[in-house]
Amino acid sequence: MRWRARAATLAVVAVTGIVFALAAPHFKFSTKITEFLPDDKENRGAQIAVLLAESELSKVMVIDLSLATPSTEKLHDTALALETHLQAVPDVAMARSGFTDADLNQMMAFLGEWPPTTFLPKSAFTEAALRARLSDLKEQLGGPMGVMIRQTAPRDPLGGMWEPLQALRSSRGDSIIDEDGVVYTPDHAHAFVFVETKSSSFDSDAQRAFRQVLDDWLTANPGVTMQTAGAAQFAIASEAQIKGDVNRIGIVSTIGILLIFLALFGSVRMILVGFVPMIFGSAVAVLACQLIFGEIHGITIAFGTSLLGVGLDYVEHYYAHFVLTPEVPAKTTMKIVAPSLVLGAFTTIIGFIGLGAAGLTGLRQMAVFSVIAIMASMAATYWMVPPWMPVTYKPPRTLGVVNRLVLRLMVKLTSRTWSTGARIAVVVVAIGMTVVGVRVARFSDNVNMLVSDKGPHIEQDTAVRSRLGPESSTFAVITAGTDEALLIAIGTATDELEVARGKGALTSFVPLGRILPSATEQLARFAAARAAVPVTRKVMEELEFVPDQFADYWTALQTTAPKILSLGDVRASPLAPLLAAWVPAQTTPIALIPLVGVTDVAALQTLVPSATIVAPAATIVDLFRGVRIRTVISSLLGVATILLLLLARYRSPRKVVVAVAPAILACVAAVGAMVAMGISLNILHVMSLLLVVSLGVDFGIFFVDTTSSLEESARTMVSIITASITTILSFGLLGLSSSPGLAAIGVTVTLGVTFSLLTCFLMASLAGPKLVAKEPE
Amino acid sequence: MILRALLIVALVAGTVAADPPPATLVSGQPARGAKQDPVFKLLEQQRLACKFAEQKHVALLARPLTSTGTIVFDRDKGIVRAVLTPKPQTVVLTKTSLKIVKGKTVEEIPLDKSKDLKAFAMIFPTLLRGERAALEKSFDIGLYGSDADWWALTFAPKSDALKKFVKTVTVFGKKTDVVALRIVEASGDSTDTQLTDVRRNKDVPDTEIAAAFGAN
Repeated sequence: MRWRARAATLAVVAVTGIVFALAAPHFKFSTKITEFLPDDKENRGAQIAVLLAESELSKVMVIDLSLATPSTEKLHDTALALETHLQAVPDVAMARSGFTDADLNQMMAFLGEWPPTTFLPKSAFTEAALRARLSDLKEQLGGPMGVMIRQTAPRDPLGGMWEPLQALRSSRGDSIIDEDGVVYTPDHAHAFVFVETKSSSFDSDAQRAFRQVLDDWLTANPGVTMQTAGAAQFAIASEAQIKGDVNRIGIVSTIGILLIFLALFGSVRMILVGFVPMIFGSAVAVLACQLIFGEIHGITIAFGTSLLGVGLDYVEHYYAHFVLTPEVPAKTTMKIVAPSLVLGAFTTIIGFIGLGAAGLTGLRQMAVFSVIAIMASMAATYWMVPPWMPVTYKPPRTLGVVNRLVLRLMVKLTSRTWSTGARIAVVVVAIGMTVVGVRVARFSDNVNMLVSDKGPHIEQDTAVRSRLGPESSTFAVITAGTDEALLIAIGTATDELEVARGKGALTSFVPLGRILPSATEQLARFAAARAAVPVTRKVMEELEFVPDQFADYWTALQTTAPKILSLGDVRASPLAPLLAAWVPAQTTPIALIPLVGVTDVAALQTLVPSATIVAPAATIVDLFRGVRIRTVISSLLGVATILLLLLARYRSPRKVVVAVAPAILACVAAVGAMVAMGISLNILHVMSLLLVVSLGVDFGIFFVDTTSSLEESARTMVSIITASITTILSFGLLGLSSSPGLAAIGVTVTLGVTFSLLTCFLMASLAGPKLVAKEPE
Repeated sequence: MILRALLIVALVAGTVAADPPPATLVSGQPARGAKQDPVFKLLEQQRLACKFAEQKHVALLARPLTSTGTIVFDRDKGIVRAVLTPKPQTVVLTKTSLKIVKGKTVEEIPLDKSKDLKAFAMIFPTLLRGERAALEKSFDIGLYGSDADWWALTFAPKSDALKKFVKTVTVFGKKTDVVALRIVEASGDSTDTQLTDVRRNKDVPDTEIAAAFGAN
């Protein structure tokens, strides 16, 4: 029978291994920050945050070029050479620098296709406005612009087709200049090339390949310095950091765990077998996540690596009992500890289900990964490990020594009974700590705290962006049901923003309404122009124009059905590259108007009611505050469910209290310790506390389930100690990660597990001599 | 956009002209190439300052536009054209940009966007540098008359981009003096500029150059 069980085990492991090996080349890894943004369809802030994170604004990489020996001409040629080189790269969707004469001619030709009234506000057709515009025309005809204006004036005497170009120019500011197809800093020391890849900025494999293209080009162009800004370099750096951390944690913690296993169990076979459940669990979880989500997030992998320590806890608990009672058959020992293992796994799963309900795709993936990994580890521990246990086994002295020490400690701890006053004091202290901890705890929902803010990629990004001029940290976001409704709303918002700027609520904005008039507005403008024909002629004559020379204009006004410019026309026009970031092609029509110099978002919102004023950084903080609160509520519900489950299992409130005390008290103490260390708690701390609850409840269950004798309790405590050490080995190293997010998980779980262990001893002491007393059924 | 540089040339040229150039001056076969060198040589200056009076004939307008002002040229810095009437406006043309100052409004237009247009805007400064070869890259140059008396240099753009806007630029002179400038646009509009009170080199003090170019 034993060989059959072994063969079945080998078959399962082999099949899993083969499937994993076959699937591995197709695994997709991601570092998308959007995975950690709420995907609540009803939440407008969440939608906007996701939209901004995935918009053109975040997709474009800015390449900053400079020369060791400054030369504007050479820099110009270098920028254009890079642009041409990148345009030939298959993964490049767009690569450009400035606009050439040819580009401008195309834009002018496009603008000239529409009625001369298309871009003129209705207010341009009052007598005073007509006089002002025609006076300007006269002056321009005599000035340096005259030759150019002369070309368009007969059809467009009021200068309508110049309006969009002026609006676009005013939005660019003075920080950069555009000369002969290349964008420079005003001193011509830096030239910029803008590039967008077909692959996502967060696809680190593709971005690494693209980075190699840039590096190769740079190698072939000595004397050129290149710096870049954009989301892609963050994706590459994040992945490198996470991979580095995972490798470091994986290697060091594996070595540590091997040494502990070797010292405590003294069997190479048991070491090898002991790793099977967690490796099996992780492999199944990775496959499942790839299947369910289509990709695996880097944080999930990092978290999953740490979860290996938890998967090992089941084996350790079993091993401790097997090794310390070698006379009991392996299968029998498993039957003895199995209820505790299953209950422990079940409570952990409940905890992670709560995590999955927090409303973030990233957290949901982590929850799915954890639940599947735990179930698979548990199943592997139960079915795969016992058949491989040695039949004749001589335990090493080490575990015996540890066991004797623990037993001695347990004897001492349970030798006397705590007075009622002392028990009450412990409870009061625990409650007091909880209240103080919760009140003093500081929370931070700044998601930027989850990633490292150091590194050359950050310095480059900051340097390049500073050369490009002031960045919009705030947006006016407009959504509507149709393109036409969107254009109407853009027009209203533009007018409101103009008023707000006049009041000093912002310094500048992209006047989209001047570039994208709605059909309704275009018709109204056309009608106003037609009605103003007599007065226009009159003013022209007064200003010594020859009205008949403007025949093209009068003819254009004679039509009864003027050609109407639509958003689709603009998106297919030479203006499209300039507008794509502000009016992205989305299922839901949406416009993002970048705002500069906003000091008070709420005040601006009052002045611009037709748009939602969004400061993405603040919005994300708000979103994560909501997510954190939801996570806490989900966790509390999870704990309540665990309590009910334990009550159903033990039918003894006292046992339930003992089972959950290590988890609850450990959480309280961990929060207290972090508060004392001045750490602001973030979403990952909260999430990690859920892990602490799961681990702590496991410990509590193991502890409660093995109290038939003090010796048995001591064996369980040995298993809890080894489990704690292996978990701390994993999470402790995670706490040293340079990624603040991973470090948060590491520190929290390390503190929590340590306190859980200590609380188990505290519970033993509080139980006193009654620890091994029979509970009435 | 760079075309706003076009008319700068029209507003720059001339010396004291007691009489206009003969009507038949620009006729017959022009001299080309090295035969033009004597005129280019006598035009070469380190500095130049003068007054101008301009008439622009635009078909869209019932009457010509007139303006007056001053011009200051410095071989190293560029050229400044300051309109005094009817509305003050200063245009500063350097090798790389065209700056228009109108009241408190300053608009700077880079000239590097198009080599053709830059060449056009730079006709007069390049002429005053005596750089015939540089001008021949963008224009067919013809010389009528000779440096012994009245002469006229005509510039016809070579590129289609420029031809869309400008037909010819003609610089008139008598012996060592530049007298007038005429631009004929592709639309048929024309600009005539007369230059008076011309001062050269040492007669243009540093203070005048500094005042004209300011911080440029």
